[in-house]
Amino acid sequence: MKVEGQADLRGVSLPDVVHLECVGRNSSVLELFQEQSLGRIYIDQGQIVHAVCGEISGERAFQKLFTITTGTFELLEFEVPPERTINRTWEFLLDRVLQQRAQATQRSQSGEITSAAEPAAVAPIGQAVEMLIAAGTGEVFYNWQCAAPADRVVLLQKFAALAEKLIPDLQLGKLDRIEFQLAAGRAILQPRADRLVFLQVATAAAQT
Amino acid sequence: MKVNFKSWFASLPQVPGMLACGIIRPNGRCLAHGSGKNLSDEKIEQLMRRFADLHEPLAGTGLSPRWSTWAFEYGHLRFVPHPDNWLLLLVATPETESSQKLDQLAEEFLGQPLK
Repeated sequence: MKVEGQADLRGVSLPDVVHLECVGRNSSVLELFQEQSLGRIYIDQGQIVHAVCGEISGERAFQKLFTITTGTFELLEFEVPPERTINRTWEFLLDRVLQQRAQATQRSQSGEITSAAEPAAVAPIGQAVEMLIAAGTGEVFYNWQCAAPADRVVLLQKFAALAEKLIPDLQLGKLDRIEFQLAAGRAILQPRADRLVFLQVATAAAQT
Repeated sequence: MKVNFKSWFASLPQVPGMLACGIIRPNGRCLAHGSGKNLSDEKIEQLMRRFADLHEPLAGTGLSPRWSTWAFEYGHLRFVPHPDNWLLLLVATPETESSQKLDQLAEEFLGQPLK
């Protein structure tokens, strides 16, 4: 099994990666680690089809994996899951996870004591506020809350053109993503020759 | 260049995993510490100038990043524009002390009075 990417959960949020994989209609397996494997999320052509976390599987496992705040995850090549345990849309599943996190954060801030099983210890996370996916030529495939899609496409194309020049020159391997640290969140860009992706995420503090 | 900043900048190549670093001053002069053929001083300077050209129009699109990171397979490029019109570039090896310190170093740079 080939490892395609690795990230630290402190630097890139798991919802961001799942969001990008689903919107990009990719097929992959996300495996989470803390010294040893904690669980896996199977994404088949942009649909979350299976999740496993220890002894549990399905939606409960999917939600539990999002309560993990330390460790790493690896993006692996897709493999057919042993069974299909999830049938809801990725939008519904991610929305539910983010809602649970927001509620847990509120409870934590108001001083409520929560059980160890609940995700109360999760740090405030970001929530997507804008997303755009386009072909390399600029044709927009998907636009969610992006007020000026043409501007975003031009920006992505400029970055893609620079990336094309940089990649052979620097010999640093494939470009995975570009991240902007903004005053109130982050923007993640994937400027590829065949696909342009823009995702802006606001920090929890910025949403309130 | 202030003495404190000079010594801070000179210490950057010592961070384990740091492949290269460079700075462009407001007057356009550049200082680079590269390594090897692929990240030579000239290449680092070229890279910073290309990025500076790209960075300026960002404000017009509603995006004014405090910093930006290009995450390649074998290197993370961190560009940090200072409000006093300096631009810093750090090139760190992923999964090393240098990549873990990128945020800290960016904050230290932004905290430097450079005027």
